[in-house]
Amino acid sequence: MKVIGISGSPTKDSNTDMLIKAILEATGAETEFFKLSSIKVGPCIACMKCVHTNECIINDDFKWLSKKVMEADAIVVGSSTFYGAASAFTKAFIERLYSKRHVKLLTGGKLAATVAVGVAAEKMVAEWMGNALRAGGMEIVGSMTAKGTPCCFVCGPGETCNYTVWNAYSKELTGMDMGVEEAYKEYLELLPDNKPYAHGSAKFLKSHRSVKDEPDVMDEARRLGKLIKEKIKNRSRKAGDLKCGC
Amino acid sequence: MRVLGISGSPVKNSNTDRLVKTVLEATGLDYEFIKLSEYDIHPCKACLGCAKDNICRQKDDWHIVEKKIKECAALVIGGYPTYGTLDSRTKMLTERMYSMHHQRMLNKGKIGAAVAVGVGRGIPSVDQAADQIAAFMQMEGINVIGKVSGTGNISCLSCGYGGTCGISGVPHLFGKGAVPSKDKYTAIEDQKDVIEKANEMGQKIREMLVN
Repeated sequence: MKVIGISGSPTKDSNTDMLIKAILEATGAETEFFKLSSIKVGPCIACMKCVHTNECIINDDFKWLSKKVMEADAIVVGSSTFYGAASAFTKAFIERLYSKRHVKLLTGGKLAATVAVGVAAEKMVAEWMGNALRAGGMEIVGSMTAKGTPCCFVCGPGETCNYTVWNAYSKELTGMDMGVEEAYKEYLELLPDNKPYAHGSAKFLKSHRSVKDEPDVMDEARRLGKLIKEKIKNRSRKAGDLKCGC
Repeated sequence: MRVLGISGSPVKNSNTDRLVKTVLEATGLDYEFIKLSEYDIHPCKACLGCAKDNICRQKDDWHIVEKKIKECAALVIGGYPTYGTLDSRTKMLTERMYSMHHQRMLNKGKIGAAVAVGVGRGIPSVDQAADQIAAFMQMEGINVIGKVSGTGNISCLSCGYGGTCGISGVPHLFGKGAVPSKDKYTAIEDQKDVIEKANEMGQKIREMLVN
């Protein structure tokens, strides 16, 4: 029983990494963890050379990473959220998995779980990763999200910058309440003179947000890991089932 | 160069490329067209090395592209959806442009246009890709004058197995029993509404830059 974790978050020991690792640990399986920012997995070049062989011809780390995916009973894919979507690291990896899809749907029957961490759009990212892996014939055991540390907390002048992430996602600019202020009320106080993209004014109450401080989030990761463990034991579908879930 | 067109499509002279070029041509202004797949660009590493001076610390071709972005007054970005969201190359471009965001918002006030080409035919992913580019531009304070979505060709039409493969997109798009054939291919030039919209966007860029 093998489960691998793949993180598309480039930050060292990030919340995304911690959640993936917590899921892996709870599976009780033989696990491996890979960080896409530490290896090289570039975008698909749409050359179609993988059609006949299901092997991508690009000579980078996807060559061995794809073998790890193929050997695994389950994969856990996690991403940070940049500009409302999965990181380009994650996106490139998922594009490259397309090489396994042609005709044989080689990833069919595998189990998968997705993790997304962000400030406002992480639910969409977790769901999107689930859909993309489902198109590869995988069964999505579950998707989970958490709120992370916005880079504006740690960049330096975040309290006075006009263009912070909470201002970018503000109701004034987007026309929607994305709930950022509410979600970060223990971390951030927006001062009365804050005006998105014109005058930044905030006070930081805490500058790092860690999933380790959020028992519910960690419990959810462990629950997903246990679910993967159960599913692997009891699953009826075998790897190689030609049944696309899209 | 006043207008810069950037395509995230790796396919040579693709529908995405040609739709971006249609917008560029219609501006009647001095423009440059580049393809991201011809540059060595990597995703953002979130190192925050750019936070103080807006200069990305990664050593790759980003600095060539960055220089062109800094010089232009209008930016036309074209991408295509993969698995329903913007392709990873165009996504990388947006992430690397974040280096220009901190404190000074270096692209604020520029004119922007979003272009996407995808499966179309009722599948919403192409509009989602265009929306993603437009939303990114808005976050950068770029004045988005429009977005255009065109229809392209799925790989199942040309892979060789599109008529027999159990997971082929051909019957999914063209109806039960459909097999690949020449008449199912589409070129952006044959989509009148799309070309018209692209031309209008180009003309609007011209009006805003000239006046």
